[in-house]
Amino acid sequence: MFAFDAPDWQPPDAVVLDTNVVAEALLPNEQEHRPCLSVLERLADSGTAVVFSRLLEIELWEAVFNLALRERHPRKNLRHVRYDNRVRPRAARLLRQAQDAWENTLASLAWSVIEVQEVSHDVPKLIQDYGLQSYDAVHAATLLASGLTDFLTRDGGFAVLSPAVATLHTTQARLLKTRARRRRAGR
Amino acid sequence: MATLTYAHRSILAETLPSYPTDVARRSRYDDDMAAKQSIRRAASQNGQVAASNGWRSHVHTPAEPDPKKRAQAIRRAATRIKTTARIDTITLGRD
Repeated sequence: MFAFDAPDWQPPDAVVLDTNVVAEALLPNEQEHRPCLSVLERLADSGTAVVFSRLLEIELWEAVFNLALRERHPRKNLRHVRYDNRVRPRAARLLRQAQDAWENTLASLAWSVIEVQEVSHDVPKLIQDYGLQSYDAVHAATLLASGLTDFLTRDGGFAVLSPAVATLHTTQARLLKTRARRRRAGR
Repeated sequence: MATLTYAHRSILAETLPSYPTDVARRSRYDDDMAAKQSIRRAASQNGQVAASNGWRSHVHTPAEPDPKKRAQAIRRAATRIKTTARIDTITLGRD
């Protein structure tokens, strides 16, 4: 397990990318925006090939739509305001900006996308064996399908995967807790 | 378009009852090395990779050849989304 914002971190030749790293890099107000943006720059600079699930893009749009909800309803539970029609024009603008940002990011990376239907047959087993949530299981199945083990994520939940399956790269701030989760999972 | 093929023997190795764990781990490491080399080489020629498990994918070459300019372009891309709000990006902002 590694911290991708550590000074001595070296980008692998190819990695699988989780949504939360991309979302954090493209959203300027997020707490770990700087290390996540830096890691994408490192991947672009080093020519690292990034592999990701199509689900990453879908989740990114979801995150951006939720941002629009959060702007209008700073203190409300977003589930309760999800269908507020007044949010739609703002959400449309944010989604266009996000699509533009993502297309420009991809233009600077070596990349390959894995469609959800290519890995969906592995998902039930991953949910059963590791207790992963459905969308996390899709990312884990993407990792397995590619044959790669290096996985960039800020989600400590992936610590349940064995080190033989997943070499996790996270932020320094999350490294200790993620290691502890892996120990608790007996991995 | 060139297709680079690599061995991939152990998807979900731990879930295959006939597969001894130590062999699974060793082959997983071998798979990782083979996958990395093939994907990287495919990326350099805008080509395809094909794994022995049936997975096949196109690996896109970066549009910008200069690594420094690529990093700069990503920095610029990260300024496109204009918002003052914050969400938890791990849960995608779901409460």
